[in-house]
Amino acid sequence: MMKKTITYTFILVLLLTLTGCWSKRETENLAITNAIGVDKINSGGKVMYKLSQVILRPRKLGMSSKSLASGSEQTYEVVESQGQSLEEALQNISAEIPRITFLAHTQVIILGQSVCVKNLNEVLDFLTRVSDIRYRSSIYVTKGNAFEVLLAKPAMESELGKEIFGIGTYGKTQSFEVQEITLKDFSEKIITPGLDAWAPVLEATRSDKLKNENNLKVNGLALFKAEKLGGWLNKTDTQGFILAYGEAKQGSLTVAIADLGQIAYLFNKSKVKISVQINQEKRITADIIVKLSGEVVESGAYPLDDLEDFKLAETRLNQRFEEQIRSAFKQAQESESDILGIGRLVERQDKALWDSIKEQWPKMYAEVAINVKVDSKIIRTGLRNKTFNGKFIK
Amino acid sequence: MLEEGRINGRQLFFIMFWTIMATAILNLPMLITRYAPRDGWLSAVVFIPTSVLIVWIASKLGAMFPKQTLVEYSDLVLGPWLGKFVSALLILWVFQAGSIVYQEVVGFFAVSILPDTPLVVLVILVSLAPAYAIYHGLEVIGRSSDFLFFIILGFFTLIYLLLIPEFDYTELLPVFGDGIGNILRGSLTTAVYGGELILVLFFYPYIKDNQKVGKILVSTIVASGIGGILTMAAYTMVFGLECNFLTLPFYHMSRYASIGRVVERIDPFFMISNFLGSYLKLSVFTYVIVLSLAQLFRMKNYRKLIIPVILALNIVGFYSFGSLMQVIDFTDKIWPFYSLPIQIGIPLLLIIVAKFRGLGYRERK
Repeated sequence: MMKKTITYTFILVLLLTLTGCWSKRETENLAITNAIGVDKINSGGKVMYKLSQVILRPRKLGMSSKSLASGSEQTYEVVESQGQSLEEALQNISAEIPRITFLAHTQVIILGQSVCVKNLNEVLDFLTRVSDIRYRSSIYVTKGNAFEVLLAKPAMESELGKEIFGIGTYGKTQSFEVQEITLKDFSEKIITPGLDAWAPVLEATRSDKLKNENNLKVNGLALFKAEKLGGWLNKTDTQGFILAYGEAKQGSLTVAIADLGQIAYLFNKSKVKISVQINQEKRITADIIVKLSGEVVESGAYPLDDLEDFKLAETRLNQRFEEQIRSAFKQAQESESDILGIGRLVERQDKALWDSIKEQWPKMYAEVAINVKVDSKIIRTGLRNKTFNGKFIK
Repeated sequence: MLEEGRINGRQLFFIMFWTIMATAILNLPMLITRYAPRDGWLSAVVFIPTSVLIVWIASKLGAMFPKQTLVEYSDLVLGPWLGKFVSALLILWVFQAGSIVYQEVVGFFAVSILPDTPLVVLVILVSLAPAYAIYHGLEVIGRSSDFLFFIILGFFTLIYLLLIPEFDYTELLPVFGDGIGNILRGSLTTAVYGGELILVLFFYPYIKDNQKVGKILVSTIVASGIGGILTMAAYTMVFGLECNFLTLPFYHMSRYASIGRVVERIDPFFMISNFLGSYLKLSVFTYVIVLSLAQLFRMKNYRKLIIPVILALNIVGFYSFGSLMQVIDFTDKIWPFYSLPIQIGIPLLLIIVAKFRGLGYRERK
């Protein structure tokens, strides 16, 4: 009897522990952040970190779009704070908002140019050390200040983080000028010798003249050499890089063929093989072989009557793709940013040589020659087999 | 008789597998990648032969005295004074290892999910289950391992499978790039984890059909070695050189796992399974200390010792290490160099002296 009483009392006491623990955070008391921007600014003679957070207003999010349209209130709030370190900035935010800051839902991290130039190591250290931020958050870079980008209004989604996240995630499946990178990949590339990091560039532009607001856009890539910003890639160079990088899921290219007209080609399969050759004088040549297959989606006056026409179109496409890749690689070389990981390829092929040239690799990288070969195949012509040219040809 | 219950070979395998893996999955990868960031999985390959050697020596000793525990027969072999000294030395070693394990497990929960919870509460939470199991004896630990083994393995396999899309085998190249010396140095600490299997000697007579224990232990080593190779390779394939900087790689992997952005944030599964695995490990360590102390002091019952020993383990652990960094530094730089002599030397000494004095059980030819 005694034993039973003790057992049951013990079970009852255990029940008390179910109600909660020390580290509990109730949902209604949270300030959920889904995008953060990091800048380094000069305020009053002191260089400080500026941390901007997009904090959601969950109650507003739950409303239907109709009631939202009537009320002009936002579904999120951008909160800014400054501090000597990022942690200090984060602490300072808590003096402004009446809730517990909650970073675990951060989907997007935007780095201002000032941070990328000088303080990337410190920022990445903070981001990978704090247990709230996950390695799967995407990294974006902006050419100006991150807090200015965060002032833009979302065009489709209800909040900014979701909008940027959507542009990256769905954009990369449709077009090869958009690419996203996770925090894990970004910091891994920065650490690894012989491989440099890149990040998509986010821009706030006015897309609609009637509306008095800026919208967001991904435009090109930022290139890093080690932990410093090295240069930029524009839209077409980005396409070339993504193609050579092997991450192109889908993309289109419009080429004019002689003076016959133009075609638009949409590839949806790409396969890339990069290898390096090291000759006697230790000169390094990289071979980039890209295989694409896709279909003709548009033909402006260019006749697609017999197979010769397709052959000609394919060679023209190959030339253009090769030009794009070469131009992207040249741009990367000028920025001393080994984004394709040529150094890693050398290391994999000849470890001893790599150990001896590791120190002067950024110099050597600028002298790497490349051979590009693109093999694009037109395997379909969509739902139409001949070009629409206004007359009937038998 | 201190222990009435018996465990069978399968249960021994289950317990011992998690005795190695439960904490090996927490901090060990960090110690290996210090030396061999890309070739960590090769360190795990080296783990198998070295640990098999340690375990083989231990099982030979066990087979010589199948009806007694190490504390009992060391008196017999080395005489009452020296024997007691050797037993006490081993118990102290197990005690220190146990206190490190408690620190690691409690530290893990404090770092990852319960940063604000007082350590005392975490200690109580972590020690309650082992204390209860030990109170009811070895057989309860064995039987609980019967069903826990597959639950834990299931969770870990789930996380592992979810990560397969993230694997990038080129991160492992060039193989042997870190140099043989670094790979061997990295595997030194892993050998200590394998050597923890000498704990079997302390409850050897309570295993059914215990002439086969040697084979079971070797298969445990091979199984956990394969587990180690798979997980080490996964760390490198997912994180590349970044895995060099992670405190808890498997925790990070479980946070990173994602299928189509739908199945995400599965780290609570890792928490649960690791808690269960740690329960088995802590049970075995605490049980061995409690039982051996009782035998050393010729007590009738070991149950009175459970609470003091668990308290002492935590207090010693808490005061000998000020921080998690100290635990890691100690397990990296000091622990292997005096654990391995104990794990190999003492069983070897006992075997040699026993052979010399003609003691022990021999199989009839």
